[in-house]
Amino acid sequence: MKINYNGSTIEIKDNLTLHSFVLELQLESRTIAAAVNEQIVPKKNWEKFYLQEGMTVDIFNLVAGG
Amino acid sequence: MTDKLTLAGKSYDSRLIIGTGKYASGEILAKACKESGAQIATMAVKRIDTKDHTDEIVSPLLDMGIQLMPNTSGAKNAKEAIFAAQLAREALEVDWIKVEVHPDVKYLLPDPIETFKACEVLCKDGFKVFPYINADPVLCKRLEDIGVCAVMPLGSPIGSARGLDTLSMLKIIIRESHVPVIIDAGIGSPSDAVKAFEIGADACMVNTAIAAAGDQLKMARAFNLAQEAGRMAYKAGLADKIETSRATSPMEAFLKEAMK
Amino acid sequence: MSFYDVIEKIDIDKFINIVDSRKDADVEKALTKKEPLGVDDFAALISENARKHYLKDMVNISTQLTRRRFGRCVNMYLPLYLTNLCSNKCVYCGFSVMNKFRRVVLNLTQIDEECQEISRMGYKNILLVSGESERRAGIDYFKEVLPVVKKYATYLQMEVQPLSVDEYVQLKKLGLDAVSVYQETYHKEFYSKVHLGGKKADYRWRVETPDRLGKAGIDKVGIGSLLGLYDWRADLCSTALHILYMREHYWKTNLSVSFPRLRPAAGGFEPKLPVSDAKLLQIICALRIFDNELDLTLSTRESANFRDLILPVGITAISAGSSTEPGGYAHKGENLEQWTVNDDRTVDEVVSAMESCGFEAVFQNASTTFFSAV
Repeated sequence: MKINYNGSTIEIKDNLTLHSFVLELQLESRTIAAAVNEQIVPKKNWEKFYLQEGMTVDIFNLVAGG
Repeated sequence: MTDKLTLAGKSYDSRLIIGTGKYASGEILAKACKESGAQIATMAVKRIDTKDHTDEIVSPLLDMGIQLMPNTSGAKNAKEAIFAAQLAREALEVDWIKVEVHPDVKYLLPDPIETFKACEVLCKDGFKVFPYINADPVLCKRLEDIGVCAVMPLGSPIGSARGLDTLSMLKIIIRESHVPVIIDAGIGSPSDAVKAFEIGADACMVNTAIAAAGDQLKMARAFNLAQEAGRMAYKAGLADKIETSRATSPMEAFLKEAMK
Repeated sequence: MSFYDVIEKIDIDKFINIVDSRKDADVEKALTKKEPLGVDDFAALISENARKHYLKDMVNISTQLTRRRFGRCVNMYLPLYLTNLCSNKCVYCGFSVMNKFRRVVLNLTQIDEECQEISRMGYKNILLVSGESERRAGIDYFKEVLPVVKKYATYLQMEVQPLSVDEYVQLKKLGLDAVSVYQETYHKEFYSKVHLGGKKADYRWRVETPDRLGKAGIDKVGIGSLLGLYDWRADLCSTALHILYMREHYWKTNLSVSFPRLRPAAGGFEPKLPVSDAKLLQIICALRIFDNELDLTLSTRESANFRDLILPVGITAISAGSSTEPGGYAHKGENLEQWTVNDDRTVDEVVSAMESCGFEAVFQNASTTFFSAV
């Protein structure tokens, strides 16, 4: 299915959890936060959160700057 | 007796806060941070770019025991700042947030209205809020009233290195504030930092002055010494003289008797 | 939290020793300090060493500070006594319930008459004064009085019994700008010895009044103690503490301080420790140096000569041509005065004296309230 990730439309497999999605992107060790349809999804809920068709997923990181 | 900086209930020996922007690598940033003696550092929240292999900065700083103070730079309004704050808290599990909203792209001056609105929401939501604002004494009191942990008035525009352009306002803010005052932005040289402490600032934030210096590590060390010297001078008390002028004749006669 | 929580923990008699033990070095420190002054600095400024060695410097500094902050403008206000009816038993006051004399509560017609006379004198800043009588001159009375006076006053002040936050809010809607409530003495035990009956005997209710005024959003709050009632060293240091407290907790509230000296009254009470003219001058300087932004008020309790002498040093508001009896402007001499006026010059004479020293008497004070009740 198609989702919007960080501004681009990508194809992902069905029944993918947010947790698995993050693992696939190899981001699990970084200090990140995720928002789906502009709502932050707490880390503790990632394993139960299933991505759906058309969702907008944004992942944010802490970087040098300010 | 120690003279520690207390912010949001925590104590620190150093009164310098480091900004992390404009560094070439996370490794240099960590070294500069160490030389500066700073125990608090700010960083931004950005959309992740998996193609970009910029060094990770958070773990090196955490390994040094640095207190993280994420900021909302990039936010153009209160809504975005609030969102950025929530993302930062979610990502770092730290509830400190430096609220900075500068829609003005020329001078990067902070928007007082959007900043205030964001702070209102974030204070209520349990964040430890540190607003970055222009040196406006009334705005500082309004923010204090809604429960911010400190105020961060600017000395001069970000990156301008013009030092304490807003000096007279900063003095008023320091005099009237019940929360710590952190002078932020425009500190271009160690002498600017000394001045900031001499007038009574609780802390001082420096970014460009160290990051863009010829020898970043030496400059970081210079700032370390500057915050120590400035604060020491402030505590020692700068000397002054009594100014006198002439009294009127009836008063002179009265005083002659009155001072017997 | 209120100022009561601060003051009740303190034995204010300790201030006496602090004041008396201040040395020249302490006075110099207070005079040259760049940071905000504390109560210990204030104690140094009212000490004997300050009087003997630094009074001239203090006069100079106080004069400069006042000029810088207030220019050469002095606000003119006039007291309008609404009543001499009082249910309190204050041993030092002419209006005490124990004193037998004809009690008067002005009605709205009489008040209007007084205001007309006050207007003819040129005043627009009126201070309503009353004895304390909840029954006959309480909030309902004041709610009727204010609209009448507001027709003539652009700045409206009150010095009446302490009211509740809600009552102050109601009066603010009717145009109330400032309220003075003098603690008389901050010494709790002595306070109970001189306030023998009536609501004024409640030390806590009275000392918390400035807090209530701050909470009600009243523009200006007047505080102070009656000099000579108790030990002025203890009371003035307590006043300094009260000033610091109000500045810290109510940053939007203006502060005014008065320093009435105990004057002969029908009750015949004599001051325990009188404050000399020299000392009063020193106190005014000390207050100005301690807190540059204070409004310092001088009433007609003081003599003409003395008022002219000290006006330039730190005073920002005075009254002239005053009457301390209800109905005293339209019908002089019919009722008992609260205290005897000392400077009995007419307002024109006082303004003339001020102008010859280069001061401007300001009668028109814009009201601080933008919205008034319909």
